[in-house]
Amino acid sequence: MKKILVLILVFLIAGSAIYSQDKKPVEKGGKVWGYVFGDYFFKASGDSTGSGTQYSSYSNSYQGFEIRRAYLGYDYTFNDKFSSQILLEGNDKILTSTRLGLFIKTAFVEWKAFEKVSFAIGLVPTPTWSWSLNEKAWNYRQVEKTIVDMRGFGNASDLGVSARGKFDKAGNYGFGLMIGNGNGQKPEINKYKKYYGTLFAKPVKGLQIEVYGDHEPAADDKNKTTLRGFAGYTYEKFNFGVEVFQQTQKNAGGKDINAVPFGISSFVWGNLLGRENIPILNVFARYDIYNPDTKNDSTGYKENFITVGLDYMPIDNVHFMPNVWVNSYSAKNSSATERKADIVARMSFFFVFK
Amino acid sequence: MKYLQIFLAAFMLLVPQFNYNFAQEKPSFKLSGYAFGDYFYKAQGDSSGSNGEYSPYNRDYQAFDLRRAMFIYEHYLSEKFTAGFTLEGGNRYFSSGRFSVIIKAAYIEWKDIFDGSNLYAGYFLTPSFVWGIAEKMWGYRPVEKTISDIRSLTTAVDLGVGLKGSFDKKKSYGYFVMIGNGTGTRPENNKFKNYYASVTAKPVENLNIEAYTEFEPAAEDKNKLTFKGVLAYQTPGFTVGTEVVNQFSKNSGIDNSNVNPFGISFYAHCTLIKEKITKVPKLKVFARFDYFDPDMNSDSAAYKENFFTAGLDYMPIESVHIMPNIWVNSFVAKNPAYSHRKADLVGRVTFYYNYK
Repeated sequence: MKKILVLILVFLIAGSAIYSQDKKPVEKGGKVWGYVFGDYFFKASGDSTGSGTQYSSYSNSYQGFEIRRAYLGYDYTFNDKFSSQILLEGNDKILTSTRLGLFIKTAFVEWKAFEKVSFAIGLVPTPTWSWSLNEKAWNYRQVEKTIVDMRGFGNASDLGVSARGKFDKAGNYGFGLMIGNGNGQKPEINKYKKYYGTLFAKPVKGLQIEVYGDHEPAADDKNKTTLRGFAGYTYEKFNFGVEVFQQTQKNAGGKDINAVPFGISSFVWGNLLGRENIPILNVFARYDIYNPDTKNDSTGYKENFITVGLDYMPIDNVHFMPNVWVNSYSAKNSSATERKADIVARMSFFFVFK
Repeated sequence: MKYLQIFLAAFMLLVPQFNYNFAQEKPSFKLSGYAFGDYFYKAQGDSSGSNGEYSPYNRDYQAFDLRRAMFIYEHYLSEKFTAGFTLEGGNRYFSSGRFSVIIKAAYIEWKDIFDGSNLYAGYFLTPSFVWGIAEKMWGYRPVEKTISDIRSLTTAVDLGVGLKGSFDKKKSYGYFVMIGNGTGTRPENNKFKNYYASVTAKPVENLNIEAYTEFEPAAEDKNKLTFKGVLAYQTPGFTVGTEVVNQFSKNSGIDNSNVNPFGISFYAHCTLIKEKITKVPKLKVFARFDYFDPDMNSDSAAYKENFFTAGLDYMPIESVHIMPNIWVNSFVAKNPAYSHRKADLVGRVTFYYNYK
């Protein structure tokens, strides 16, 4: 009898371990993670006459070390239905008592209410680029933001509620919906809310497509409607993508005077060298066309952005990326002062801990 | 008996503590930190200013103060690479009037990039005091900064690239070179860079020497050149040391005159009582005296300052310190026409704890 009891006990202990391995239950607990990227940069051409890009405010020959982003995140899983995240971000634009400070980038809880649908509430990543395909496909946020982000037509996160899910088991077709303040990581300042929606599809191997729209009403019969499309294709070790967006800003210039910014971005990146299927050297290039207002042919500048570089990875999570960053300007009106292109040479670094 | 053995064997395989593979696995990260602050009472002095910790306060001012709270995260990416991320809070950092935090470090370390040398990139601790030997030898940062730190002659952290290593296998002789923005915890505001270099030596047991310099050019033919030296004798129970610092600040004074701050610091600390069995220190005593002249080129303007602190360090456990101490900064006018400034005299009970 004793023998049987001992054997049953051993069987039960071993059995529970085997069961737990098979089922792979969601582990309760927390995880610290983050990443940092920055550069040594040298501005080889251009002036400091401004616009919203990273280097437009610096004079020619300016050089510096810079941290463009430092993330410190904590993910906590309560059980297989509920998980949460809090993420702090610091960068060269966020100062606390004039020093490099931090702000809360995300703080949300996500409820996997159904097998294919999750809901999140709090300061949630938006489907504009954070919870979408475009930024992941571009893969080089550490070099530059996606075109919509770079030109300031949205927020990475917003305070509100969101739903995301998939239509099929494999997750090849899915959606994202969100209602938020529309004020990003800042507190709300008006009663109007922003509505987001996105659909994505991966119809054949290597191809991914996304359509996105958002709408934010405002006082005085003003509103903003953004439409965005993305298509990406992976062929062997190379990835290609194109993203196009247009925003209609109703009555932005006065009654019945709309502003319509438009941009298109195309990129390629791929692996040049590797060892045992681990990439060691990648190459990347991107070209953007941007018109801050297609309804206005007489004032302002059209802008073209180019970046090209290499990505050396001594290990998977550490990147050193020599690159050039160029933003050029062409005046819509021939009488406008010529603006020299901002040309910046950089040695970017990027490391991830997770 | 056999079945008991089977049971024990199965149990040991399943319980991670007995699993060899599990036990051997190195954790992928380390969280650590510390905090220090005080209850203080300003027994003498006025609020006429200078940069000292207590100079803005009136006489009889008293308060509880949190001077520093650190949260340090190190993530071991591989044998060769470590990522560091540090947040700092304290009584100087506010967001909408409340205690806030700043990023104190965010860097990548590439160990043994070549034999005995590590490369750092990002935002990390400079060789000036924390990753040099100055702060280690003084040993009482919770009581006060080192002289070059307290007088703001250099910076604890900077954004840039650096190389740190040793010249010999025993690591008795080392170096640390760095190029950085020179703006410390603030973003860059000019195109000029700061160049740091230090060498350290332990020529005989317990003797520690460091020679340090940094140079930062600036616009309009201005620049700063700093020299610093540390000499300390340190045994497990006793330390005596000195630090001297001199800065040449070109064209940065009135009418583009040169400014030449100079300071020297002497300190000692020793163990008075140890735990009988473990020999862990329970009570230590410390004292320090600094002399500082903000500009040796000027005999008529400003004040020379003398700083003195002394106290006890009681440790109920190794990581918790309660330190009653006095903190004095006195002023000697260079020009007799200047108004007399009373010394800032502060009584404190300082607390300090670390977790790692």
